[in-house]
Amino acid sequence: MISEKKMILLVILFFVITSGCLEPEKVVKINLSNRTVDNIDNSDAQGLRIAVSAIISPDETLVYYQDMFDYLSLKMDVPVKLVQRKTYQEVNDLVRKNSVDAAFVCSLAYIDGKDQFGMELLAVPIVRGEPRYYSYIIVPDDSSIKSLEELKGKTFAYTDPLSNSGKLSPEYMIVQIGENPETFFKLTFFTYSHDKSIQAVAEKMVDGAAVDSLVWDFKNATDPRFTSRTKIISKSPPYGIPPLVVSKDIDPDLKEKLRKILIKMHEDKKGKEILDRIMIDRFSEANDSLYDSVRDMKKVVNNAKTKDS
Amino acid sequence: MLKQKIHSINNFIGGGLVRNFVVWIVFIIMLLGVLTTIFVQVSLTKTLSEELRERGQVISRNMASSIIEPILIDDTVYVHRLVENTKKTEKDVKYIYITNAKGKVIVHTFEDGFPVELLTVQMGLENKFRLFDTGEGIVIDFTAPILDGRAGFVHIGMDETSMQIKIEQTSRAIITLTLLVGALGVFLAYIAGNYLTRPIRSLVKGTEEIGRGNLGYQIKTDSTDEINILSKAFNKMSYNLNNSINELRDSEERYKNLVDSISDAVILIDSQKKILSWNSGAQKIFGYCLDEVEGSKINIIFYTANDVDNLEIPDGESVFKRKDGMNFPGLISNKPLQDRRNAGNVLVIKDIKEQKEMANLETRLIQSEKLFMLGKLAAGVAHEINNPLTTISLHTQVMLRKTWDEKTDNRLKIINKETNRAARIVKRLLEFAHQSEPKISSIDINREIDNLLNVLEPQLKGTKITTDLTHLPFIMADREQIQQVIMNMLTNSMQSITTDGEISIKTAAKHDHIEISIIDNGCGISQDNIGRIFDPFFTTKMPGEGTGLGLSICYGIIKKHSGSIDVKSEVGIGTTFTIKLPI
Repeated sequence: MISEKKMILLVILFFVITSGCLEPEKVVKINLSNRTVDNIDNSDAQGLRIAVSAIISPDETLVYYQDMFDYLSLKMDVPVKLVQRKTYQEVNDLVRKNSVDAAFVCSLAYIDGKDQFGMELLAVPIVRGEPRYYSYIIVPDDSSIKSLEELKGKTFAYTDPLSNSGKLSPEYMIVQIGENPETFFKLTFFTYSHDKSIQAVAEKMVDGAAVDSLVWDFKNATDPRFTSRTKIISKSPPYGIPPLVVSKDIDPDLKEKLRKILIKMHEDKKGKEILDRIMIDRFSEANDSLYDSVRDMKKVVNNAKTKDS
Repeated sequence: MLKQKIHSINNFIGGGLVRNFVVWIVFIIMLLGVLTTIFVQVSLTKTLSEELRERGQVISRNMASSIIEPILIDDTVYVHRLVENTKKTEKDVKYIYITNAKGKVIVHTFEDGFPVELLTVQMGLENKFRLFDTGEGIVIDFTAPILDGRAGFVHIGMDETSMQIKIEQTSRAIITLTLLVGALGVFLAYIAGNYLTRPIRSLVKGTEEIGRGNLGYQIKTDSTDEINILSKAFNKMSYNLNNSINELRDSEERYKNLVDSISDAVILIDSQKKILSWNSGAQKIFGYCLDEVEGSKINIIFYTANDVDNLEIPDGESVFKRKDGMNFPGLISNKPLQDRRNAGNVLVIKDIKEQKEMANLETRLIQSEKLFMLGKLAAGVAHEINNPLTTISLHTQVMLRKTWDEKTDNRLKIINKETNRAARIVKRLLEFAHQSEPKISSIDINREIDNLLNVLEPQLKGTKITTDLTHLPFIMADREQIQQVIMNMLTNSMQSITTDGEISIKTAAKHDHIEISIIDNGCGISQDNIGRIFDPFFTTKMPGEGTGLGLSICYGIIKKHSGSIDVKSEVGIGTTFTIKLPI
């Protein structure tokens, strides 16, 4: 027979156990009926807007450029807003429409912009002592493919239609080996950023991809999760590095001020730190002739395409 | 204690086992139902609440990670579509809104504008979720950072209302189920209770039967459980009890017969001296049957002890009283009862009245023989002495006629006187010895007594004599001898009483004899002497005053008439002589 004492203890135990589940949480009283007139505005009052093409994916871009933008904002004494778009073309359009004050664009996008609406160079980053970069053809780490030729009939990831290293350069190389870039691969598609291309190869979603050497090297140095699972089977000749551009209609004073800050950035301790972190030596004056090789390639590829079609 | 409480609850419920059974079953079902309801409600609340929270977190996190790019590239159309879609497809989503890194609302799902309060509450919050009471129910607000908050935050409000409805529905279902089960429980418990208590009821009936005296009652059982064991044990007990009781009855009967076959009274009394048992001997001796005396004090059978509270029961001879008031002598033996309970005594009383009478008869027989022998002897002696006495008397009278000197003359006179006395004694002796056959005639005793009293009148000297004479039949007797007997008796009585003494004479007719009682209140006769008063020459008088032959002669006369003389006497109170004569 259970004694009365035990019975009471059991009942108390029961309530102790169940009361743990009933612990009240803090409830905030709120009235949802009080509504504002909806005026979501995305305009930034009195600020500088700088666009960045998705050379790397937008979230990576945000991380990558955040400090530099904060630095610029500090130096310019106005808020600087980072504007991103999915494609290079959209960024070029922003520049054309003067929706942004400046933009980081791809080399090929610059050539197009300059041709179409007089996009002007502002500055170029110097990486490892020169304003140049390469296009890498990469395949999965354990792939048997050793050359571009062997990628024929395979799947391939391009970066963006206006990308030099991620589109024009591999097409040029295909033309060089006497193939038609339109039919060389079984299937191609655009990832719209180089880090995504690296990821696609690492995950074996595609058999190969062409990527920006700056992105691959930076990723390999800072976060080799994906790059370590890829290997470079081909390296292009050097191309003019993706520049910082402005619209031709920009206020000359602003343009000048901006250029000065950028070019002197590495002399500043804080600026140097930021540049070191993103593996850029410094910014330098830019010369349009730097991109002549890209212009030549474009012509060759376009000719090849029009000829075949 | 709990047991007592349960007991008192059972008492409160009242009724039989079945009722208790039903009430307890229903109570237990209800208790379990309530506990289950509480438990289910609590655990369901917990589970659903956790699920809701997990869902909220998953949705908000998924959304936060999937809209990084659209947010960064300012694709608000895409974000808006995603948010609206999510709200439509995911259940319990009350609202979704997205702020940028600066806390500005980029997209939201409120139709009539964004509620300002939500923004103020939200500011500066690090928690994963918060609870809002909107007045229409509780909303759990989840916040998920986009790109660690650098690109903004996703806020999702999950509505708890449907969860509460689910809990309420479940609780209601359980309560309904409990009530149904309770109702079913009453029904089934009633049936089960009836079924289970059936053997108990037959047991109860069995005990009642036995209680009513129907020993040997057997219960029918068909089950195989403990009740069956109990029933078998009961049947065995009942059988054994019946046997034992029968044996006991037989034994009791035997003992009763044994005790009843004893002619003496065997009486069992308790420590309070109340009669417990009484054999048929006692009934015969005392005239009471057991029912009349059971529980009465033992005093009722004693002659002397009617009002004594704590009667000391004697051991030995004592006088007892019958139901009809008659007394009789008896021999009592008083033994304590050697009983386990040790309460009481056994009295064995023997009626010794007949025995005593026999003894009397025997004494009288001896007396008669004694008298007869004495009579012969006395007749011989008297005859021999009478002749010389006659000669002496004759010569003495002759000599007295002559003149002698005075001295001699006196001596002659003495001789004459003593000779006459001796002659008288001789004459009485001859009378005694002769005991001549009575001359029988029909006489009326009452008239004889009257005549006698008239004759004696002068000699009475004021002695008060009362008579109580009832009508008597004539009897055949010798008138003179009877008169002599009565006169002798009266003389004896008169000599025993003092001046204020009283004598009464009573006569009574019995069915085969008459009785004449002479009662005085004189000095009485001592117990030592009472056996000898009829002996010849026995007298308590001074020498010369009586011959001691009077009563002996009376005895002889009455005996000749086939009657008897009884004497009862107590010293200082008086003496009663009762003469019985056959009709």
